[in-house]
Amino acid sequence: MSTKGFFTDATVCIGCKACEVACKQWNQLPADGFEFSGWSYDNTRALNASTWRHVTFVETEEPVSWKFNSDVCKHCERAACLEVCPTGAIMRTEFGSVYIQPDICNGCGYCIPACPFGVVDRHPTDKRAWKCTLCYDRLQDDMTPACAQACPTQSIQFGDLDELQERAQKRLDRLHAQGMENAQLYGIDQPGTEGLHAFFLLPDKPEVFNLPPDPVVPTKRVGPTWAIAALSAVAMMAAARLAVKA
Amino acid sequence: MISDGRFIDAKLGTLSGEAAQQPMAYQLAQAQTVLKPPVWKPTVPLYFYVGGITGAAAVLAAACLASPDLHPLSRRLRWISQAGSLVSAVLLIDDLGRPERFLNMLRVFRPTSPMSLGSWALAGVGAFSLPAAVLDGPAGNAFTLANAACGAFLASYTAVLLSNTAVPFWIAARYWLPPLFVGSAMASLEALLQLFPLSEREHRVVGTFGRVGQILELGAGSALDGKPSLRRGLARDLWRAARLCTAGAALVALSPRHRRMAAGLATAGALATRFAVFYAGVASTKG
Repeated sequence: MSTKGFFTDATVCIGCKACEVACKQWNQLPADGFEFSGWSYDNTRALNASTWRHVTFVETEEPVSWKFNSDVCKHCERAACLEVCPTGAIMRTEFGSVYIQPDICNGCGYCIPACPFGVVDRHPTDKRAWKCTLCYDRLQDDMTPACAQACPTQSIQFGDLDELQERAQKRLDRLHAQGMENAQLYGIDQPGTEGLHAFFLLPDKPEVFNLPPDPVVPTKRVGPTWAIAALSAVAMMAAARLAVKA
Repeated sequence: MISDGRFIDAKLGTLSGEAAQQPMAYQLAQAQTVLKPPVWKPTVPLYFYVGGITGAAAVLAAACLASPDLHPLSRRLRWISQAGSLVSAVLLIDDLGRPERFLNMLRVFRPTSPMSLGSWALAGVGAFSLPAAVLDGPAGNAFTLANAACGAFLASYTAVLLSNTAVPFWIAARYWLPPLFVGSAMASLEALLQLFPLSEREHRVVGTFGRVGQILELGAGSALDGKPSLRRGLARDLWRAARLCTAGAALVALSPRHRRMAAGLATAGALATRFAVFYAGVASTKG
């Protein structure tokens, strides 16, 4: 099976939230409640255990603009959640996506602080970790994920990852030629995660859309910490020997 | 457009009312944070303390095999590591979202996950400490050594577990958390052992072990003193208490007549240390 992914082109997103609705409906997820957040038209606020697509609304005053991005689980090539999961509930599917098996997850919660994007969350009453499945069930029946199917502007595109990346590069070149200098790709050349299977074309810097500019899967930097822990353990053993011999 | 945080356009309105000087207290449009805070309960930092004692006891029990007059102490330490492993398991299982699925922790062996490795190490201490405590001779010694290997890991891996996340404070502190936690474990064990009657020889052994632990704890703690996350909020109060109690315990321990007081201070300091590090991390995800 070839690696599938999402190319989310935020430059054509109109903030309609059809993706949020389609995702909720297909996965039969509960609503987020009926409170106004005060953040533009974004009352969803963030990805969480019950929200697997979230449209970020960014209003700026100087110059006046209104930008949108449909945020989702990035299905990282090196996924922090997968690497820290102690039960093996989080796995890599045959489509290259990252999937949490709900019948195995025991709610240890380690994946939650591990994700550098703040995607995974543990449901407060269900008590298991949940996130976007890349519509694993739909993919197994050769269907398109619900959000990509519903998107009216083809802002969310689904397909083979390498084809999507080519398409994205062409789109970026075209935008730069049209004068949109701030347009940038997010998640293709990203050493910290070794690339995102769900990547983005953003009209501005990632921080504007609440995306970390330099996300790193924690395992990539933990080597020296393990070494220092080993040294500390050796020091403890040496101290024990010293104490006995003295 | 925005004046003093209340989104009042100075061209349209002037602030002349009685209540106009109130600062904005209800944060309607604050920046959204990227990271999700850990969902763990206080049983997790409590487990860091108990697991530390468990691991340190396993290690010291093995070292005491080298000297026949320390064999009673060695046996007691093996029992402590057995009891500690059971209490640790209860604390960790309680924190799970689905506690009935706790055995899934042993479903895989995942070297990239400190929690996976730690679960196996805890299972190792649980499995080895009982035969180690009950058996004599070469068999008992073998189990004691195996227990010590698992215990050494148990007392040190929790620092890596915290660092192996996206939590800003735990990443910033990652080189100092291992010696802090290991030293704290050693000092906590010495404090716990003061509850038992000890011979002079045993006092010296346990005291030396605890002293080295305090040096590690105080040294690593000094390196972390400057971190901003330990100077704000609940973590600040806990960290101050931790530093005072740990230093106080080291000073009071110089007087043999005040061993119990030193033990109390050391225990309080060790607990406060774990909770301070935990809450500082949680707060650092909120920006």
